[in-house]
Amino acid sequence: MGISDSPSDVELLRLMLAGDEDAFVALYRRRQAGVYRFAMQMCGSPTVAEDVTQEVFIVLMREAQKFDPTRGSLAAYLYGIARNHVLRALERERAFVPIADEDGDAEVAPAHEKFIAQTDLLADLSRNETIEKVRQAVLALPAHYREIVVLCELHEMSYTEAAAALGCAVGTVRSRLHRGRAMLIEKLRASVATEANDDQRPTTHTAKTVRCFA
Amino acid sequence: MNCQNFEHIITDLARDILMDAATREQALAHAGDCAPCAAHLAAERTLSAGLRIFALDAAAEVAPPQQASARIESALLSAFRQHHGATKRVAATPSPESTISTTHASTDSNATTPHASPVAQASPQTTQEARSSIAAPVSIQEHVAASQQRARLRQSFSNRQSFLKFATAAAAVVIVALTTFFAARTWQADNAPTSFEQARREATADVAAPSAVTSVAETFETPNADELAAQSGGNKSVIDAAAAGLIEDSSEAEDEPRAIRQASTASWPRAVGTTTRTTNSRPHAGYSNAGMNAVAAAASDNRHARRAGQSSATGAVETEIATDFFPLAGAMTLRQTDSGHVVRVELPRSALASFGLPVNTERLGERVKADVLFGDDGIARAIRFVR
Repeated sequence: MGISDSPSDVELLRLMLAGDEDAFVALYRRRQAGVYRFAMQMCGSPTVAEDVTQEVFIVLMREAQKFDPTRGSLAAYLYGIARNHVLRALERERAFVPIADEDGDAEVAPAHEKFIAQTDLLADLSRNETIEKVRQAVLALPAHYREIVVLCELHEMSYTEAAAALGCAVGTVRSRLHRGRAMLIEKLRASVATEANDDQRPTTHTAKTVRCFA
Repeated sequence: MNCQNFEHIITDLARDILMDAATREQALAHAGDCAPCAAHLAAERTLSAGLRIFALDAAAEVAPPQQASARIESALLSAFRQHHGATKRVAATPSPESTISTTHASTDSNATTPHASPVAQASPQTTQEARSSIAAPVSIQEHVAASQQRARLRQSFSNRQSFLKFATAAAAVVIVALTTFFAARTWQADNAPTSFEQARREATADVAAPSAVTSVAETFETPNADELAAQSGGNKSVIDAAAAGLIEDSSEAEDEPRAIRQASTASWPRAVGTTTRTTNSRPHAGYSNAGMNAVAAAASDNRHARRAGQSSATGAVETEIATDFFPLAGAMTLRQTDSGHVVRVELPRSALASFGLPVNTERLGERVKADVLFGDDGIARAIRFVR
């Protein structure tokens, strides 16, 4: 069976609106992993990611008629719903999350000053260490940068699709992605530098893990 | 290209986004000449590589756990069924039985089912998830059970609809039958000749049976002529006439010479009908004409009721016009009475003149009907003329 034989998202959505339970199940099984990953990468909590995934498809079930194919794909529509629920969850749990980022949202220095005489960013890290560093750095980004990075870098969305999912302009996506990447580089460099210092001074304070959720 | 222009496109350059080839060449040339921009580009590319590794790792590992996925799917299915009260199934959708067989076959051969094929061809990750979801026995059993339950509900709903249709039709038939029955009864009551004839026979039987008439007739003590003369105070002609009428009526009851049969007797068929009193505006000083009328009305209630019954039976309607009661001479001095008796008599037409009423001289020899009101003490109090 070829790919062309499988119904499209829009076709499944149409069947789902007609009350076809199987279409809904197929749509859920096709899109639930991406939605779950997006929520997980945005908030870092499996519990919140599961709740967000469930909420996304409940909203789809109830408000599927609001989906406009001319404005974007169904995946972008689902990501947009998930993003709203994730931001809501982050807002709810903000009071319980200490942000231990020393740099915080400080202004990023001009690129020329940052990258002069800098070594390779992740050269000395293993694959697992790289993944962990990147994961922590992504989670440490502000939400409006994080969502762009997650969609465009981790879910390989185009600028247009990300703009449709987030409900903003393509230029906004580009600028936020540029700034988010710059912040990621800074965080990774800071993390690597801290780890190098810890290796030289093992008795000093441990490296701070910047995560939204433990 | 300067550093500022390079900064604008460095993200796309590091992400290997499609761009204009000339711009790309110019940017790479600038990076070769500018050390800071080259370092920046290297950092960006390193970040892109790290993000790509992270994305691959997340795609491979970060997925909802199997139990969590099944739980979410079950919850969503419940919500879906609640949202869509009557679930519609597309004709092309395989039946629950075919889904079961396909699912078992796929579980055994580790192949994808038609149900999972869209997922399987979407990405390897979703294929794995779909397989795990399909292989989950709890999810399959729940799905099959839900499908069977939906089938039962549809059958029950169909039976219920059939019953409702039958009940509606039965109710309509009953309503039509009842309407026809009552309409027929109403038409018979209004137009059936048998009922009319029966009523006439009953009325005739009443008239012909003296005992029946006696039971409803108003009987009272009849004053004799002397008493009437004494009590009328000189209105002798009236009293004589009244006495003659009374005697005439009482002749029909031989066993009770002093009793008078009144009202609807066989000899008085014209009494059947309604009575209409004319209004007399003449005042009668010292005596309550309204009181007499009330007493007379109370006394004649039984008679009127009887007449009304006969009237309804015969269907004949006669209008009886009566004057107000004229007090008789001497009645003013008597105590007023709360009850009394009315006696219908016939008088010479000349008696009208005694009470100041006009008299047609051409019909002077005819007789007129009058009602004489007697009190409880048997004394005549008033008289009225009836036509």
